Amino acid sequence: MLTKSKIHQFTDKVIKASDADMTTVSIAGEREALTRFSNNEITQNVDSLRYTFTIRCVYKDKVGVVTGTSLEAKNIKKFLEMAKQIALNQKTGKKIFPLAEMQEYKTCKGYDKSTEEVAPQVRADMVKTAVKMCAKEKMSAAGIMSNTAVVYAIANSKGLFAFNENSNATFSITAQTKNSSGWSEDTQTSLKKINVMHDAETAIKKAKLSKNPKSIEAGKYTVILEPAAVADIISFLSYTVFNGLRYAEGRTFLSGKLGQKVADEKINLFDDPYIEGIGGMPFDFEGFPKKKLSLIEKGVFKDIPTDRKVAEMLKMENSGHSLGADDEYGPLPLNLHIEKGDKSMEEMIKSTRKGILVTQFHYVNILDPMKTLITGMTRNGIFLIENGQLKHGLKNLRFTQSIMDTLMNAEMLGSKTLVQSGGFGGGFSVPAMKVRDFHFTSKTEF
Amino acid sequence: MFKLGNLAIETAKHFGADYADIRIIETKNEDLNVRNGKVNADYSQTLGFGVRVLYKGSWGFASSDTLTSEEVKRISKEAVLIAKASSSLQTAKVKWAKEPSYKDHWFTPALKNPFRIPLEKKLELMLSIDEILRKKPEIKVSTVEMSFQNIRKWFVNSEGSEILQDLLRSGAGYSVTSVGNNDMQVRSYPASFGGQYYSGGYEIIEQMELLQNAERVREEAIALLTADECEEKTSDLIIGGSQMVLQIHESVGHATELDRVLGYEANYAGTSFATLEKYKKFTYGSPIVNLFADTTMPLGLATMGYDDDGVKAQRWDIVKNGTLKGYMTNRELAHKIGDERSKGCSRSQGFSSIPIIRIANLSLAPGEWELDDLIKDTKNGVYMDTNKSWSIDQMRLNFQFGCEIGYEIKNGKKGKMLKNCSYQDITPEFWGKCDAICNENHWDLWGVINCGKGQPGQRAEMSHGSAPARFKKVKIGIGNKK
Repeated sequence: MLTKSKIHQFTDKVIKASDADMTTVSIAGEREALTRFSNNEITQNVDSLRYTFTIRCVYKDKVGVVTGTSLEAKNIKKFLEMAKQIALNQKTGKKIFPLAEMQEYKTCKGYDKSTEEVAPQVRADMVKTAVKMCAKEKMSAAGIMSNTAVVYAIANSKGLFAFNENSNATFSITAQTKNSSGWSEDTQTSLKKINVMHDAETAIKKAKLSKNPKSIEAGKYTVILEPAAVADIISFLSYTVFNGLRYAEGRTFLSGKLGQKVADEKINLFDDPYIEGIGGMPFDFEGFPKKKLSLIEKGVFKDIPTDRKVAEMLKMENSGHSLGADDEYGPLPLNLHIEKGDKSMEEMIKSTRKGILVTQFHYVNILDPMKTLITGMTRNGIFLIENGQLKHGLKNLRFTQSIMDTLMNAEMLGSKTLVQSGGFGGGFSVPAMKVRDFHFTSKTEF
Repeated sequence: MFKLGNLAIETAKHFGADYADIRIIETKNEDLNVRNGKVNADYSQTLGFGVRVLYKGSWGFASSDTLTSEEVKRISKEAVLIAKASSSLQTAKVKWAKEPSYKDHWFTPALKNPFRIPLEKKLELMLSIDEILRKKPEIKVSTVEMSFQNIRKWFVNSEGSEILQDLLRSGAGYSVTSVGNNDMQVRSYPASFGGQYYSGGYEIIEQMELLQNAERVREEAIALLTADECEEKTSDLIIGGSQMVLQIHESVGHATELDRVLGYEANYAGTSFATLEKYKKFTYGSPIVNLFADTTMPLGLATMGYDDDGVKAQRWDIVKNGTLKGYMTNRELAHKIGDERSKGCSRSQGFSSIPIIRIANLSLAPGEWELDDLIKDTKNGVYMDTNKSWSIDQMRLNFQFGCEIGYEIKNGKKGKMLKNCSYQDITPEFWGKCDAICNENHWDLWGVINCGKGQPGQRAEMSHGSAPARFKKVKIGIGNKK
């Protein structure tokens, strides 16, 4: 990847060449190498390096935004002229906030240089180890081994320059028998922390345990959600429920509920980009420092992310959660973290008279944002618990359930957290959770 | 460009590749957005290339955004090195289906190049729509969008093909969010999630009747705030065209992607219930259900001259008279169903992504009903349209979809408006309940621009044609009060 100084040189050239009243340039770079396998062989093996630059030029109250690839000096003049033409060809202006000046940032711990460059044979060998373990059990393995490095920089004509880099390595595996499957995934800042054998063992164990699954009637059950399943659910808290603009416009469940109890008192929910490996950035997409937010404290709704527009609407401070100067989606908490509890998975299972253990969910989507009602399917390991013991695998179920009811009905929290990747600059850190009255609404055939 | 393309092929062959192809892709996008009267105008232009090679029957792929001879050589060599690593874990060599080589220039038919239409003219239309949408205080958010894309793609392979394609697509739409009565509702036109998209030029935007429908859409969003909620029950269901798109996409399109069927997506997007032993035998739906794939049809988002394997565009049956008859295939997997030739479904998001099997334009053939007659023929039912939410299991069986709007049907008459509409069923059972499909007067092609698949994740575009259709005894209103 390009170094910080090379990227700074490019942003300087853009800003110097621009005649706009305000100029901002941002650069996103990604090096992604990924080996994909299925049916116990490598089926896809890719390596791509890509940079995208975005230039935003403001002329009085009009804005032109252009995006391109290839950080070559010859591109600068052409793209600046395009941005100018876009701005000057508009009749209607809009309110323009001043640019951020140079800021001081904390450091996010999320980059490992050695994870950026990994030979394809290294990934292939890691995959081979896991596939051999599955083949030995007469199982079919599918998954990925990837290593990725991401850089993001933003600079403007007020002198701001902010730079951040993250890396991550992910190993994900699904072990399959004729009528069952088991899954495990590990995302780490460094490839060295990935334990392929442990993940393969977990997936194999789940596939074995869920062989010949039995059907169970839909209805309300106590569930133990493994961390991946919790992350699948709470990602919607980020995009919808805790969206600052939606909150300000009265369009979320939380609107008008500041200071009220919205979850069980065991729930402490933060937006924290500074947790190691969560993939966070210390600044937002305008260059303002990102604050750690305590969103829910002992079950009480305490805070909401803001950018300058939302801060003005709510008469609050800017918390540094902007998705961009012209963003219309709304400021989001991209790095949700639920504080861990004190229960091991074994303790949660042992305390359950009748319930269901869920490994992960599939294709979760929101049905009614105001009720925080979501639906999705279980996947890759769902088990009946009876009298404190795992009894057998179950056929998959569909749930239709409010996220906030889930948090209100949380009975126990796991003693370990897992980081799940959530896209560019985003990720979630969550423990397992035991929840009562979780509503499964229909069955499927496997 | 073809010169650079041939340099990649020569280099890959020099380092041992048995097969190689390169796609050099230049993409231009213009994305316009007006939210509550505020304009965002973004223009993007990207250029780069991806080289794919087969070495001893295993794949390697590498890409770059620097288009120089030196970089083309470096990346071609890198792709071979990656393929060599892949070959260390291989159970069977890739069997590459035959296809003639082509030298061709194919372009999307279009009357008006949208990139040459003045920005101000486009914004004027968008701001006029926005003004109508925000005339009532209940409307808290109005969003008007317009988007244009031009892809120039140079394809060269080691079999002698040299193909240039010039693909153009245009789209527009709007949505409003109403707030009140302790509720929030959304209404969109012509479709949700960005509007309606076709392959073609600005003439498409001019035919959409965007301005003419703005007042109706605004009033529907407001009326939904106080409308009754769709009750949880079993009911006959008439699904409008724009929701049928999602139904076709999720429960037939993805289910018949041959890579999914064979387990290639088992760790991520999922597999499929439509497995190979069901091919040409399985009852997918009632005898009136006919679904066909077609990458040659005018206006489709997956309409093209050739796919990313260099295979010429085709039309074929997926479901014929209710029976599973076909799959989406590429050159790598066509032989798995006994085909000598690929159907041409191999596509990638861009130069930095490897081609994978994607859904083609897939449509439900029109039936014989007029919509008014179908409603008259329905004693107790619900009409739903415009997608709001979607979810389906990893084998494409259990689905649950939400719609923006519904209407009660009682004794053959369309009655009161319903909100928070949803329905759930199991794919083959659901299509088996299809007892009426409206005719070609009600049939339209609808564009999908956000289909995600693959690792690394890729986005693809395709269209689905449908008219409204009726399904008997479906579970609706899931999670709402009975």
